[in-house]
Amino acid sequence: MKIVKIMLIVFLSIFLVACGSGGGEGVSKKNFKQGVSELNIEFLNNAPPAKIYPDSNFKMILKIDNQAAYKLLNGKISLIGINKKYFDVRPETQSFDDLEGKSLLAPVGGKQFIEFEGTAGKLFQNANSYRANYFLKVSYDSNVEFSDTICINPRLYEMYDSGCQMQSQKSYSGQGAPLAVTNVEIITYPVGSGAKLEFRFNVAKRGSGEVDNAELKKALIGNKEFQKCEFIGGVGAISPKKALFSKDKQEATLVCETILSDQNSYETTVTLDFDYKYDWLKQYSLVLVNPNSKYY
Amino acid sequence: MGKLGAIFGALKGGAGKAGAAMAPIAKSVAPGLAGAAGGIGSVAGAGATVVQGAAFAAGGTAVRETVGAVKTPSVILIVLGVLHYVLQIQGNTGISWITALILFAIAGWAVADKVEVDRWGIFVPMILFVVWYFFFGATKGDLAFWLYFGGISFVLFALPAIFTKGESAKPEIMGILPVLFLFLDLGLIAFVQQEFHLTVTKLMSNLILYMPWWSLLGVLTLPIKKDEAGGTIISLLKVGGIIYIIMIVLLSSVPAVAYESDAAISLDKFQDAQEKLRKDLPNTENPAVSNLKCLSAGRFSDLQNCINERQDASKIKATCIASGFKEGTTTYTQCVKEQQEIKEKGSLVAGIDDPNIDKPTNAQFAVSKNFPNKKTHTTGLDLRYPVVLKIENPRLQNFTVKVGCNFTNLKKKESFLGEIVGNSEIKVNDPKEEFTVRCSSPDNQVLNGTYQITYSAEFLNINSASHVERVFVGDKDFAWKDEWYPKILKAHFTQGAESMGARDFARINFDYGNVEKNPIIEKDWQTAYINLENLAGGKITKVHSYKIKGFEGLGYPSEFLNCIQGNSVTLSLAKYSKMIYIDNCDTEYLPDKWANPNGEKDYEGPEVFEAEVVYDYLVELKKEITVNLRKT
Repeated sequence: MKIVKIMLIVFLSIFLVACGSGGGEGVSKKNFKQGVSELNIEFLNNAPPAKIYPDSNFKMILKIDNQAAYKLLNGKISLIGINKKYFDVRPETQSFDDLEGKSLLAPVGGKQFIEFEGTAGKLFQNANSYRANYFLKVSYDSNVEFSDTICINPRLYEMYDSGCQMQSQKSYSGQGAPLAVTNVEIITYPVGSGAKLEFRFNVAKRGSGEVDNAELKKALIGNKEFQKCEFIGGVGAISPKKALFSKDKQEATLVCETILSDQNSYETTVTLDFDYKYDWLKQYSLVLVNPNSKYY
Repeated sequence: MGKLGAIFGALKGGAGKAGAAMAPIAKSVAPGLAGAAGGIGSVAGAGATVVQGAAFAAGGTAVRETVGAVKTPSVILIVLGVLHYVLQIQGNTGISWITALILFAIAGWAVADKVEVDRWGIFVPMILFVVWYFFFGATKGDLAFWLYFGGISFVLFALPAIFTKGESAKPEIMGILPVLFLFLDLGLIAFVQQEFHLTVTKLMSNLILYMPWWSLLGVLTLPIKKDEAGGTIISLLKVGGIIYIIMIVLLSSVPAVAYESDAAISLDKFQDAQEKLRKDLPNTENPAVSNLKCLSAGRFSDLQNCINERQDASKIKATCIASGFKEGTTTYTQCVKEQQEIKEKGSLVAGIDDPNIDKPTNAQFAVSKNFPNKKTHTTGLDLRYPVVLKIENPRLQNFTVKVGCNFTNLKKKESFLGEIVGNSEIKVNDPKEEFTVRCSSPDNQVLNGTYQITYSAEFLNINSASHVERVFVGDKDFAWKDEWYPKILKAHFTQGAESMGARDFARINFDYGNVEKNPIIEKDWQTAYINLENLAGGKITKVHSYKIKGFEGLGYPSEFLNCIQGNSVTLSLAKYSKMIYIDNCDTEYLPDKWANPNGEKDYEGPEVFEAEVVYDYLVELKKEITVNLRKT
């Protein structure tokens, strides 16, 4: 009887613990602005069908699902390189609504279904099949925010400071978008009685598409603007605050400077906000088959 | 004959007995040399003794050299390899099979000669190959077979290696060489090319056409014989062999890479593939000969140009000869002139078989087993010879076939028309049809002796078509091209940029673009090339019309539109050649949608262009018959 009681207590305890841990990773605790997330794009099953017969109609339904932590704007979808002789798909380009990013208030992010109407043509002579490869191109504008608390120590030669420990370099996995600040280097120069701080932010593409350009909209250290911020190197800067990315170089360096008059080490926040244009391209196929062929 | 006998004697006797077998050679060569020396001696008069002595000494050295060289299996391999190669290029497949197997054995001997220890190890993989090929019928086998056969093979490989502490491993591995060369000789390259649809590069065609593989193995296995009998001949063979390889492989194919670009291994398949490719490849002058002739002509500074000129000239010569013109005749000269003009006007573009069409329009005669090849007859009159004409018409075309036959007395070289029993014009519209074509000797001809009957079937108004795809990009900057060209080529042109069509009797090949074989068209001059390729080994007797479709209603200039179509083509003298030139057409015009593609779409296309040709095609069958008149 005693054993039964003990087992019952143990069982109930396990049950309660199990119940309690279910929502441990609750939405309320989740920080969506970390890691790499972007727009998920996929065709629904059988839309288009795996095999399309000549002279038949079909639908292509695309599901787009914003997994990033930021709103997507000016979205456009284009079908490029569909051979019109075999497949007439309309419209070839269409816009999609602005999609909310994932947030505490909307943890699933914005979703939309986009339809294309297709009509299959005829095969060439008595061909068994025809595979039409094409590209699906999705373009949109979005933004990404970077924010971190860092230690600043203007006194270069002070070995023992009762304040915080300054790190000259820090790495980041991402800020919940396909564009991310991946690394920051902090360089301190003594200037008069204070110090000049130079922050070198590496801004790089981490998603599966390509960043067309990125523009710095806001750069704060604490509550103050950096004294100077500009992109250097890369393919080319459209303006000091706007960098152009290329296929081969999907990153840029943003250098920001500030002069400190404080003598003691202290922790402060660094906040950056970028707008960027993003393109995503993937190859797909439509297959036209001859119903009389022994292969289909 | 004596020399050959000696060589075969040496083969039979093996290396140990080779010395004895060489004696007849020495005997047969020495008197000749002695005679020659004697001749010189008699002219020289008093000084004859000295000269005779020197001549005998020279003769003796020559004999010793020859005997020494012929004792070497590699030399035998080189010599027989060349003879075997000659048999092969003359199409003697049956005999060349046997000689290949003999050379396979000699190759084993030659490779064994190169190995210092455990020579027998060479024969392990060779015997395993022979067992697999002849006893197991070159089976693809299943997993169980390969576990069983592979396991035993592994044991046969491993055991000697274990017992000899690894020393037999090297000869065992080297034993794979003769097997590899047997495959190469019988057509491994051609087989791979056809199975994986590789583009035939210059290097590949040279290797297929001009590489006597066994001789190459002979050169590779030549021993080092310093100060020994035969050393000089062996050194000369080595140098000659290496020069030949350089000429074949390097000089003629510097810009080419071996492959531009995807069964049970039956050696028959290899041979068939090699035979087919040899027939399809233009019969040009051996590049090694071209090299030598250019060098002897002193064209050192433009050697490659000279070789190309000679190769082109030989290609034209081969085309005209294949078209039935005899060298030296006026028609032959005219043919050469025409072909040169075609070459200057523009190249003949290639096309490929559409991989999506496995049923082409085709026909062939079939001879039944009961065909009366030999007949004994009382009158020799009204004799009938039936064959079957099998027609594949998968696209359900409506066409007419005119059948006929002709007798040629092979002794008297006289020809006369035969008579078709029944209808000589057949209407075809079903997907598959078979007709018996009965050829009867005419009433006024008594058949007596050996004749060749030529059956003919002329297919009237056959329609064949091809298609190409092109992408239009307008004016784009370098960065765009750098990013998009590889993507476009990978997405739309994995099968190449050439036109594709069903492998019918003939195919219309065409190209369209800024540059030949480039499927991406920019805003610039474009050229359309059109030619006809004869694919079925018969004759294109007439071209009724041709047209490239896809340009209509887009504002192209009429000059260009008229050029890409025609109602009839005057077939040149070389009309029976494999490729028939039709026309080249230029234009600078591009419709706006192709000149300035929509910015959101990056490029326009792929757009499909189709070419269609309507033509008459003649299929023939030659059959030999013998009629003996019964004496009454």
